[in-house]
Amino acid sequence: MKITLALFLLIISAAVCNAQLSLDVRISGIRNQTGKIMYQLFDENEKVVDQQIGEIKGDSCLFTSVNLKPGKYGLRYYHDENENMVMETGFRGIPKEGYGFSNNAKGSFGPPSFDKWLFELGKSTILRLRITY
Amino acid sequence: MNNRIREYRAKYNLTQDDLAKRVNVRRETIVFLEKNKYNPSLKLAHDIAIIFESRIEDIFIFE
Repeated sequence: MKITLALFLLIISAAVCNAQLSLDVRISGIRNQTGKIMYQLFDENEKVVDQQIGEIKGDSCLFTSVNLKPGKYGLRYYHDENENMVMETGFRGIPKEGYGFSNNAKGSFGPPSFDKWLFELGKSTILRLRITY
Repeated sequence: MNNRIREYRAKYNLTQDDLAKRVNVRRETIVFLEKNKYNPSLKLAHDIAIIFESRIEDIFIFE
C-alpha cells in the first residue's frame, strides 16, 4: 500500500514538475511599423531560454514562448528600427530606440537590475507590456 | 453574440486545446464559446484577442 502511494505521489510530482507552460507577451505602444522587435527570455540564472524577432502589427507585437517549466523568468526587448541588430544608444548610453523589460521595470541611470524584471511563471500567462522610448 | 474563434483558430493553426492552454481555461470553455453557449468575461475576450493579434470586436460580434 505504501509503495503504491509513494509511486502515485512520484508520478503526480513528475507531472507537476514537467508541466509545459506557455508565455504570450504582447508589447504595445510601438511608435511606427519600421524594423522589428527583438525579444529575449531568460531563466532565473540569466541564461537565455528563448529569443525571437517579431513583426509589428499596428502598434503592437506578439511573442509566444512555449514548453516552459514553472519558475522565474525575465525578458527584455527593443525596437530595432533600422534593423542593424543592435540597440542604438546616444549621449551617455541613453537608448535611441524603444526598449523594455518584464514587469515594465525601469532603471535609473542604466538598465534595471535583473531581480527587478524577474517574474514568477506558475501557469500559462499573457503579459501585457508597454515599450518605452 | 456570435464569434469567429473557430475561423481564427484555423488561421493560426491552433486546436481548441492549444488555445485553452494559452488563455488558461478548460477546453470545454472554448467548445462552449464556439457554440455561442457561453459569454466570455472581458478578460478572457481580451486574452483571446491578444492571441489572435486582433481587436475584441473583430472576434466577438455583438448583434
